[in-house]
Amino acid sequence: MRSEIFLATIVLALSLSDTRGAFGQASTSDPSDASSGAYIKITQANFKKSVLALPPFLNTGLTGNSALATRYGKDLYDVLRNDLDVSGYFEFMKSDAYLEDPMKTGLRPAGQADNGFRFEPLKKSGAEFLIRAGYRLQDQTLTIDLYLYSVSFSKQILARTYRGSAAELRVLSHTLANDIIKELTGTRGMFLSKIAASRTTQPDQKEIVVMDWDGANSKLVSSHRSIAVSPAWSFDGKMLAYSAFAYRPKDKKRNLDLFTLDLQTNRRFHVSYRTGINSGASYFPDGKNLVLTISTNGNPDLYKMSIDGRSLTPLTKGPRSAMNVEPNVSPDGKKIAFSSDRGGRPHIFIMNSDGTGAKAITVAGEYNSAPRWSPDGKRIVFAGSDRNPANPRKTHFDIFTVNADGTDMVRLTSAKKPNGEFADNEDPSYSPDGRHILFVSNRSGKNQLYIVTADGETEKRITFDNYKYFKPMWSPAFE
Amino acid sequence: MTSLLDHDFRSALKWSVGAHAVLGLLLIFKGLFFPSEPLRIEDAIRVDLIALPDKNRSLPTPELSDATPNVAPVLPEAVSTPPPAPKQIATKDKPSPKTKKVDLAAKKKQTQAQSLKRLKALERLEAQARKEAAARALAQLKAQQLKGNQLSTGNALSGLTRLDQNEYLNSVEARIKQNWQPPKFLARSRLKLRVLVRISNTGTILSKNVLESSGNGVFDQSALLAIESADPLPPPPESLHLILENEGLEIELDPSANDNA
Repeated sequence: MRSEIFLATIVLALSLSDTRGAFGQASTSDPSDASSGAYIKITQANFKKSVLALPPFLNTGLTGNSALATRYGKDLYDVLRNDLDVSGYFEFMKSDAYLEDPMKTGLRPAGQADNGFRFEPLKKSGAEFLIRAGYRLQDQTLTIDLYLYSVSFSKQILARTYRGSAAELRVLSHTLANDIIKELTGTRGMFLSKIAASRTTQPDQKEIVVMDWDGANSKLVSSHRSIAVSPAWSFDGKMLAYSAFAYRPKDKKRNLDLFTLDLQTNRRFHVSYRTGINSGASYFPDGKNLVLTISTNGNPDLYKMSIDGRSLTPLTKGPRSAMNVEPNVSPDGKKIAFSSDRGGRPHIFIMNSDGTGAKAITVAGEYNSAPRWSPDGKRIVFAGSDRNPANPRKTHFDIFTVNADGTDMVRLTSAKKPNGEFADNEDPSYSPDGRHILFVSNRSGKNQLYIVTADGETEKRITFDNYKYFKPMWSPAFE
Repeated sequence: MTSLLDHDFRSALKWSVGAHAVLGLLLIFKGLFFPSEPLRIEDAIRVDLIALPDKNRSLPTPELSDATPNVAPVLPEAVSTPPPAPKQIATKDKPSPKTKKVDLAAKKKQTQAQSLKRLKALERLEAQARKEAAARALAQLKAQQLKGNQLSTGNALSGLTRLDQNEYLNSVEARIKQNWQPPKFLARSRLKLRVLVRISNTGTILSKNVLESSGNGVFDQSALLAIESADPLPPPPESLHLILENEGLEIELDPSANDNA
């Protein structure tokens, strides 16, 4: 009996000792612990263009203002100004807003050089940045001194000298622009990049052409006297792959064969001439293989092919009679985006570079084609067919971007032709810095080349001629 | 018999004391070597006493918003009649009649103005006294009437105070956000910084310091400029006065927080 009582008390003791507070410490929670002071987080800002004072280049040469030198100064200025304008970061200060004539002062601030300029008048005019450039011409060599200043902080940000032949004037100026953008944003601009496209040479002939991103220095690189289309740059920018209709005397008909061109040596290689389609090539980053559409086995399907054309690995197979076309290899080489109508209508798909795991990333739209990866591998740009809401029987193509997982689709274009109808905007590709997208549009009446900022805000026409352009591709970065 | 009971009693007592001692030792042992989690005494989230109002026979019908009970104001000793008019000099003997008349008229005006002033002052005093008395009565009423449609204001962490605080911080955030214009060339640079701002009771910014720079002077400067442009801010609610004036408000600026790209 006593032992039971004893046991009972022990049990009671143990159970009670678990109640909180028994010899434990009671503490009051400090009210300030929960919020630890006042705090707010601001996650939005109104980003605005910076006001840039960009006076004309100053001739600092000893030979004086010869007509040629003056002309060079103007060309240098025009190229630089166009580049900086297209970047979308700047708003240019008007030439009549200068309170101190920049042509009468030196390139450096007062206090650091004789006849230096003053920051105060620029601040008063509202400038935030100032670019002063001087050039001199000696024989055929151009030397350029570039200074970039922050007017707000009254200090120099960049000072650099450039030298090149007068024939490379545009390259020099583009390099200035790239350096300025790199200094301010941390990533280089795309101003030294190029565009490859197919354009008409005769009403029934198309050849491949390569030009500067701003449309200058346009040169034909193929001469099949036939129809050459779909140029593709290798990742190092040294090779171009394209397709052209080549005549087969034996069959007395033409076949769409694949060619590659070494841009440095100008040598052309006849790489794939399997019967049927050999087109829409896209290089892998290692430059040893490419993926393309081949229809020799019945359906247009995607194949991985060595660049000499010998080894062939099928990546897609239908299903059934579906077409799989327009492949584009991702920047890391691990995925391929392509267009396929296996679901009925052509939609954008992504698969692994070995052909497995194909998944649709667009489900909306009637005809989605020409997918291209962004340089950071996060987004895909493509052309999608859309119905005119006012007149559903009419459709037109617009450029869209979407995340690689299919989310956040954004339309970038919606222009109208002179006849009031919606224009077709097709065949998009990203600039090497991902800030712009190149595409073809018939909004002027004829297929011409245009670029648009990646957020869709500003469009700009690149070509102003009477040719018709098709399937342009923006080159990789050239430095 | 007693010895038997005694014996039983004593052994029972021994057992009892022993058991109590063991219990005590166990608890002490437990408390020393296995302390349980400390008690957290937190402020209650919100406690409102809500009950239907009592019927009050003695108090007047409550008009809690605009109470002006019939309380006789305590007026200072005041003369309510204007002072007697100054002695009028007989118009018969006037060495210079015109000037004298003007003088008199001016004087009359003066004294009348003075008396008007005094009247006005009286009125003001009256009104003030009435107000004070009313406020006092109202306070009395309120103190007595805890029941009825009245919610307690809650404590520091809860209730209306908390709502006020959040509303104020939201307004500060909106003010600074709309003034913030960083340069477009930094839009994709994923920069962020933290600033500490001290705010006075009236909303003026007393100081701003960068706690953690973005690494980019232009970006930092644009944020500081935005805060300057938002100065003066609206006056903060009383519950935030101390903390905003002393510890300050920490502001984190991160415009790429919502980017998915």
